[in-house]
Amino acid sequence: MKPNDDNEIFQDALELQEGSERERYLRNACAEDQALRARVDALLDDHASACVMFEKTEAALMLPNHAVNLFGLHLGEMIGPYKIEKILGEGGSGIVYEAEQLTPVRRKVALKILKLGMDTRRVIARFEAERQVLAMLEHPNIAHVYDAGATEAGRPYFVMELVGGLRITEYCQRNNVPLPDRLRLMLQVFAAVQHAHQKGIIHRDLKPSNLLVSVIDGLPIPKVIDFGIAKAMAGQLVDEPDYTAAFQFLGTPAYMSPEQLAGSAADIDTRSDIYSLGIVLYELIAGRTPFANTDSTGSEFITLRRRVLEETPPRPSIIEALTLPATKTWRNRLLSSRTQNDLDWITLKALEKESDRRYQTVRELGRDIERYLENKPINARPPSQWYRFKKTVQRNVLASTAIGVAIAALVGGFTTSTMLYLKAVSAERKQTLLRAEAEEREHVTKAAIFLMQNQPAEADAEVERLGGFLTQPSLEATNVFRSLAIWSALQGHWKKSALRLLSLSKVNRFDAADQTDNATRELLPIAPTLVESGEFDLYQEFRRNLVKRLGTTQNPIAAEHLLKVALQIPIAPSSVNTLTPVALVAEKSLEPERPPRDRIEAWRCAVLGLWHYRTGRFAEASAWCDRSLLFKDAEQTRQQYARLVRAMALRKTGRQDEAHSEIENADSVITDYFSRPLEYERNGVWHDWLGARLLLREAKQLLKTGSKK
Amino acid sequence: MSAPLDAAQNTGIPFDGFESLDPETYAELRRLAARRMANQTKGFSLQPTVLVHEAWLKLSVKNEQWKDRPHFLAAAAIAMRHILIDHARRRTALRHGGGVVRCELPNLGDLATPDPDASILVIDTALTALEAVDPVLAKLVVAKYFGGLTNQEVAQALGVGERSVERMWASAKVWLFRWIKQNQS
Repeated sequence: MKPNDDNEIFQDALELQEGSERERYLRNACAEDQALRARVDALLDDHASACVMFEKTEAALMLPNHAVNLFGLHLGEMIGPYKIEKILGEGGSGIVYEAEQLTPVRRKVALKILKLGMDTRRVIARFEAERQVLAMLEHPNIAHVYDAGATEAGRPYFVMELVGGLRITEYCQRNNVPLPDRLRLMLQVFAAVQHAHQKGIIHRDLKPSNLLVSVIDGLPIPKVIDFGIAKAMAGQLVDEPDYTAAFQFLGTPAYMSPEQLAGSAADIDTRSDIYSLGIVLYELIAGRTPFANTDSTGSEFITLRRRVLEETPPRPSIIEALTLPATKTWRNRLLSSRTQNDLDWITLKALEKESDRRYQTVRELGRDIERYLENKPINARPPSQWYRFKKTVQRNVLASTAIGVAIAALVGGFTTSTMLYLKAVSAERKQTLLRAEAEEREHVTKAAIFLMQNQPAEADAEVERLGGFLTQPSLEATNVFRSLAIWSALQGHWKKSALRLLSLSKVNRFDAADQTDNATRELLPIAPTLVESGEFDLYQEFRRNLVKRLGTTQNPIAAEHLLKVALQIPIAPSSVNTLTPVALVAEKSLEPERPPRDRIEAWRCAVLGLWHYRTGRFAEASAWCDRSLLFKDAEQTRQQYARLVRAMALRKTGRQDEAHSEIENADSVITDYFSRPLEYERNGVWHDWLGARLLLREAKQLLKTGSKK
Repeated sequence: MSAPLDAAQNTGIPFDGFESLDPETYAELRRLAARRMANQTKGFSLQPTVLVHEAWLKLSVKNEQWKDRPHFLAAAAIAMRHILIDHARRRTALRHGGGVVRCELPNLGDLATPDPDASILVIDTALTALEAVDPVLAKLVVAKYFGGLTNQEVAQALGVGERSVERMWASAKVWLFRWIKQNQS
């Protein structure tokens, strides 16, 4: 078999070893054809040269490790007045360059370019919004943020004071810094963060790479960098319904507080920073973070997130003893066990899951550290027995109780053991409940993860499996139920929405039900959704419970909310009287005769109109509605609410025609809202639209019965 | 009635990026990118990730859905070619004090003074010429040379036998070399 052209002979020849083997093949293949042989030889020669040419380009095929080009930046390039000089480093959120600012002042700055996935305009707008406040940060341990802008490629960048030095953890490790000095470094950091907190600035991203230590005149000086940047980026990270993608490029979530990881932007405050500082403190004491460092992608992120939300961190001294070789000298080994415990409690107090249980200010945390250093009693206390018991049960290791009883019976005699036995029985019951609750919490966590991935249907399926054992206040459950309630409602699944809302009301933090204005707001959607889905019994029960709990409130907002919920549909005269005290609270909160100053007062007037209507005082009802309607804005729900109550009152006083036209108007407005895809808010919130539609039905019914007469 | 949640909360996510990228494809892209990174010695580095993002941008800007793995491999290689060429241009520009790069063909006799960036740009030009003559061979060069795909992957991307890959590659190299020799100033 003979190869039939130059190319094939050439390719065949290449597969053979150079030398006699190839030569034999070529002689055979080309036979007497000298021209063919010459062409193939030329191909082989050129191939050899080509290989040299290609080999020489190898260097160009490898991108340098600093990928300058990928961000559209190269050294020497100008970004606004900044000349890029070198790369300082790369983090999860961007690349940091050293640059020289040329105007108006000549100085070295750090320029940080954010990575993909950021909405440049929003990031910059957020930064601009806070620029004034950031300018007020004047602290030797805080690096200034000077400027923000966008590169030609559209990526946002920040310009900061150039800070040298090592991460605080790295600095301590490299220099074998003894523990007391580590704590003193942290005290300086605390002072800086406290300064910012007093100006109302939360850092939101405190972690070792944002705490740099440089040695100046022989003294280590820590500096907090990136103040204001996390907030500018925050919209991308937590406000968005889909923030898993963003999280993946954020770097490590190991320093984020439970409320940040739960995704509840509203709960992030100065105490979130305290948590992050607690983690750094922990790392400086124990040599690693409490929940270990993992990279932030995929399942590991989810595991870490769950651990941060649910597990109690081990005491740092225990980790330290387990992980650090005895030869490590930085740890002051003369510490007594008492003071060692103290440091544990200080750290763990900063790391409480619920921000209310943490130190409330950085200063308090700092003072405890100072007291520790001075060998004085600290404020942090070990968790109470009951608290620890609860935690133990939550970890499902309560099988030990029964064993405990047996041992106690052996050593402690009859009386103690009987007492313990009785305790154990009730503990066992409690244990069953708590275990059920722990299982349910698993489902909620799964649901939360589905929600993060923007898969509400899957999240809903998880929640569907709950049996109602979830009663402990839980940030995560609150978020899940709230999101799913809204999701169901906007699909028109009123009953499901109502059930989610009821679950929400159980796990929401309720101890101060009427103390904050928001506490009762979450109750508002429950009434119309229950009524709309025909769950009258549930509604009645809900109303009864609510009256019992809030019937004596002095908070006018809670009072108004209670009235709005309780009066959604006609109510028995016997029950209506129990509402008189709250109606008075609501009424007294408004100056007599004065038109509403804002929509909140306008709502209160409309609700009071409904109260008078339900109690049969139709003239007063009309008057309150008139007063409510004096406030003009785009909120149709409130206006239709007031109009419908007034129309019903008019109808009751015989002014049929006026009532009729008012109700027809309301009908067309309300029908229009429901004829389009539901929105969370369009000239009013969805559940107010639902409530208004219920009033509309009631009013139409009233017209009908009227015309029968 | 159905009103999707995202319509209600439509706040506009800037990039229609990675959420539509399944984890396997992401991992694959990352693996391909890593081959094109220098100093991939010390464990975890974010660099390939960055390269993946860039590649992904290039891929998604084209708004071209790949149908299957061969298609994906070919598309990823094209993205890699763009990135590498961009990079070489930029470096060359920088070396010549900024400005536009004149892509002169180097004198092959002067290959003793090799400038990898200039050479790769020339090869790229020659490759464009090859595309007009033998598209399949050109595709092979993109996949193997720029994309850094293994022979097996190239075979998959082109739908040819694995043994043919080396043979075609040899021919392609000669073709490109000869084109450059003919066209040099």
